[in-house]
Amino acid sequence: MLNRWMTIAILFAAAMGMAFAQKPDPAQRVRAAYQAESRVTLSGVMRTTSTVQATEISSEVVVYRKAGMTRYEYRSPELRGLVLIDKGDTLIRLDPTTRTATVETVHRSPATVDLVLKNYRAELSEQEQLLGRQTDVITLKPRRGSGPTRKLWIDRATGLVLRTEQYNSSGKLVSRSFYSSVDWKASPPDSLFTVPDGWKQVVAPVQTERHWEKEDLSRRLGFTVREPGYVPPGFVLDGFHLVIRPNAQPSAHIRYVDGLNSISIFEHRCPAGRGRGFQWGRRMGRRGNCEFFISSEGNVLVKEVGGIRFIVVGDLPESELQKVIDSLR
Amino acid sequence: MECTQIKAKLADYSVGLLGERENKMVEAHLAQCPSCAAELRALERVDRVLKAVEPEEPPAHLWNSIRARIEAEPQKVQIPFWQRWFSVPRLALGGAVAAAVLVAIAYFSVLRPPEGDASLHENAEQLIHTHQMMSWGDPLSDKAALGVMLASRSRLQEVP
Amino acid sequence: MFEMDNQLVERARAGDVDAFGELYQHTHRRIYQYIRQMVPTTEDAEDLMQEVYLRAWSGLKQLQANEAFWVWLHRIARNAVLDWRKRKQVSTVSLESTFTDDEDGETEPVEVADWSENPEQIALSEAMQEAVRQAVRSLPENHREVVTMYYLEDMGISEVAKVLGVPKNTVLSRLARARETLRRKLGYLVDAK
Repeated sequence: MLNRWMTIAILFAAAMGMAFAQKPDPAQRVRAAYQAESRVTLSGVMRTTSTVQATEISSEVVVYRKAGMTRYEYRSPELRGLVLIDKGDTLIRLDPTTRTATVETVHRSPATVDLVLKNYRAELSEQEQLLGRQTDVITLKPRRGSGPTRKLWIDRATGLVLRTEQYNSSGKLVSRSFYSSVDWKASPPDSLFTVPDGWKQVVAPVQTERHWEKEDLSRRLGFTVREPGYVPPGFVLDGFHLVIRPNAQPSAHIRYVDGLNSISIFEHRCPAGRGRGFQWGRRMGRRGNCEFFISSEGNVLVKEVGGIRFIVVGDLPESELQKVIDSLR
Repeated sequence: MECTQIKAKLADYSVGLLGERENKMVEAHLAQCPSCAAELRALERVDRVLKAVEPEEPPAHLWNSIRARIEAEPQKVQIPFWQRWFSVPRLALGGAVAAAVLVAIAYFSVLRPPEGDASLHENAEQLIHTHQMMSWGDPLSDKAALGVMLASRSRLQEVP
Repeated sequence: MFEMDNQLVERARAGDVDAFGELYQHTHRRIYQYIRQMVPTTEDAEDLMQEVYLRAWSGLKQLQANEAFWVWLHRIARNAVLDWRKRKQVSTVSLESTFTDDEDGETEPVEVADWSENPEQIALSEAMQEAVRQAVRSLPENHREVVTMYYLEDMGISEVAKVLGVPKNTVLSRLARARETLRRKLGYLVDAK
């Protein structure tokens, strides 16, 4: 009889011991976070800060989540009442000053949680209390070389990310978002996730169009689209796209992803310079000096050869971007 | 007219310096003289060859040196930060390849094209926007922050 | 015409270094082409670039309201080159005659241009581009100038004339002479096969 009680006591102690010693598996928490995005229903207030063109922009954001849809209402006066509605496959942007809804197709990325975990190591740094709840603080660090880092505060109970910090490959904080309050019992109405009545609907000027085959894209653009011979390890091809820009040359867009980071390669004809020829009127078009600068965060490389401009964009060290652009032949 | 005389005038002819009468004389001769016609073609090719030369890349660090020297002088006027919407805080220009214009850039400012066609600024911003917005669908992206970037970029375009 | 945004020029004039930085961005490539062709080495060209822009920065107040920034800046560059020459006591014949003036064309590089390709656009290899640049550098100064401005800086005849302060016909005449000279120097490149 004593043995039975002792067994029970030992088992109980062991169970308690296990409960105290139990540390969550960081990779599993990351997966849970990814799934939580489409499962959680709530309303809340976030605070987000981003660096745009060397300026820090902060905003309070009222957030509604339901059935995989999210509505972001930006309260900062600078953003003039912007509302974004993420419906999974489309993104609707509401501009109250003009009562216009701009609809953009959300690009389907082949980047999955598996790809993230393949290229980034998930480390549990600590456990924190946020909004009165237990969160696991997981940092995603590149397994190879340098790259962006993401720190996630993942709610133990629901898996929802309550706070995100994003660092670029130089270690600089690029953006930070966190919930300052959450109503877990909220039930947002469906009307919050649709275009309001009487608003004008427009389709965004830059549409990420379908995935193209390289040959078809080359034919469409009138020049051979080059693929890079080199892409940093861990990146996979997302696809070839066509970017139609108003009043500008259409551009090929080749995108590579590694889960958290992405590289874009744009290729298009240099805009024609002034035609200039001999005085009696024979016009010999000249490619011209296509000088081209872009305002941006992150790194951009531009190359012009034979009348085609190549632009490589990505949060990578210059040497890596250079290897990519050099391999475009 | 003799070929030697015509050949001596071909360069002037090719840039349109000859008067109407001389033009006609040259053209009449060219119609019948393959040798002079070939010579004119060679001159035209010089023009095309020159047009095909790519610019040489200036050294990357120059602006930093120039800026440093300017700032070492007593300043004229301080421009308030909030006025510098389109300013370039710093530039890092990188290496050169003779056959291509290769520019490694951390921050840029925008060049207005000489032709006055549609703003290159807008077009460049569109490509960056495309690059960033494509990451909207990536796993665990910080969409609240992406929204701010989206909104700010398009708002900056509205500033005259 | 390379017109600068007036607001940018005004801001730079008021002391906004960032605005001047943008003006630098808009112009430095072309100015560098000019200076690089007019002086022997890249080191000299770098020094002169700094000189030019520092002069431009201090001289902004003197820029007239209706005067085009680009022409004004280019004149500064030209004067800086002339001053540099005086300081270095460089003769007006180019020092850098590494390109031999061989009428038989014996110094041609191995590759030749393929003229059967698209007549509108040709592409030159690195080696050939450098050979062409050297040929331009071996021209007498006043011919070299107009070739550099017209072709390498993509300027129009009137702009070139404004910067040099000469009539358009003078510019055309110099271009014609330069073409003749280059036709000889680049014979291996332009003669029909």
